[in-house]
Amino acid sequence: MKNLIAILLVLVISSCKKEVFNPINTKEFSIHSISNGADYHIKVSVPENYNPETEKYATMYVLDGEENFSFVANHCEKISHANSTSNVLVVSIGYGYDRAVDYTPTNVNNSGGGGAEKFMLFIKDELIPKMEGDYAADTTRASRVIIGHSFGGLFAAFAFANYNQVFGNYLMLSPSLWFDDEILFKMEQQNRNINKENHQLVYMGLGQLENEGRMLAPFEAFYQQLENNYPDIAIKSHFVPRLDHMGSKNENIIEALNFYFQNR
Amino acid sequence: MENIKLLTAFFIFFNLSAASTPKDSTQIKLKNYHLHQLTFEPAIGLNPWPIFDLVISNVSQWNFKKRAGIVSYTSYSANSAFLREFNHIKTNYNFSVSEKIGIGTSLYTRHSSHTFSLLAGIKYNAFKETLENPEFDNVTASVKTVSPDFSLMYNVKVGNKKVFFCYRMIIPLYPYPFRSASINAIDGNLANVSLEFRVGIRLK
Repeated sequence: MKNLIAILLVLVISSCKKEVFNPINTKEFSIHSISNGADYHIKVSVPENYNPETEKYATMYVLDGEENFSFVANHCEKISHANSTSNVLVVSIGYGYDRAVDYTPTNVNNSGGGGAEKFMLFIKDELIPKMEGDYAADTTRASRVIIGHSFGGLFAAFAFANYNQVFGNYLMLSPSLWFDDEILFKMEQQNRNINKENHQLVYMGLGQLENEGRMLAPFEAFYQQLENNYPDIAIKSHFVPRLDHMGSKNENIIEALNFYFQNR
Repeated sequence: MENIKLLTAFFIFFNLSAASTPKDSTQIKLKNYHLHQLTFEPAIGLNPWPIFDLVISNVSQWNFKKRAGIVSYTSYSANSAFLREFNHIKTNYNFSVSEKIGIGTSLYTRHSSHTFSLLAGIKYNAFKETLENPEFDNVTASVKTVSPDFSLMYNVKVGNKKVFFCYRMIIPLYPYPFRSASINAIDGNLANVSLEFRVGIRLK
């Protein structure tokens, strides 16, 4: 029993180590947002052999950046290399207001949420122009990616429905589509006629054991809604076997990045 | 995430303190405790995280030595038992069935026994949900899956008679670290922590 506990202890401690992306290739800065008044800490990973003089790079905007940045940046490097394709600039968006404020589209029962609109304006009008001014970021819609998990996935769906001209690629991991009686479904319907003219790349991932009575049915419904109504869409849904909401996150990130780099 | 780390630390501390219980005192008190060689222990319990699951289970334990036994654990769990309608999402069914077998070691006090077991087996999960928002078409989706199931079980029996009271706690060792070494996966372990109260019957 003691040996087993010792092994478990070692595993837990080693698992708690936070993954770090090569600091030489990481730049950092902060922005005070005019749109919503919050301060955002931004990290940018630049590809190996980054050459701003001759090349333009796609950009991947990472929500919950403080949690996910290094994992995403490391796997972008590995997966782009494995697919013999150019890497992206990975942009980590740190927390300004609470994620339950910035990533949610409405203020349900005065719970304090509903900051998605202003957060989106921050990304569109402040962060993206800074990235395109200070770094060799490609300025086309098709070159921009947004990736988010849970409320972050909800925000990616919000961007898809309401600001489809900003991003061409949406990686939605365990999106909280149940939010506010499936409000995102209505937003998607309202803007469908305009948005369906655009080419879309959408990855939707879920843990197979997300069985809390709220994730699975809206996930399937939203997937069907996109697949059936967008003629120019590259879409994939994926269930991570035998893992739940948090456990499936990293495997879904890897799956999403593979889909992106193989189909962009 | 901090809460998950704290809970993990609590479980490890709990097990370390249990494993380091002095052996000498238990040996003295063992004389007063009637060893139950074969027991049958049906129980009702709860998985408290993240939404309450209702668990019906049975432990059968055969002590082939004073301090060692073979343990079988069978359970049926009605998952998220008290949340079957949420934001127009109806849960049609949501349950798990688990069968595990393993070995345990027991410590004894004057009126109780404490058994720590390591169990391995399989779990069948099935759930089905329907989105019934009147503004959209209904969509139904379901998942059925079999997964490995490993756990530590702490089992305390109080009473020396044929019928006795019991409490047990199941600490899952799956999906973390066997399915995924990411600390995020421990969320899935916590979802299967089970606290159970029961009445046991000594058959032999």
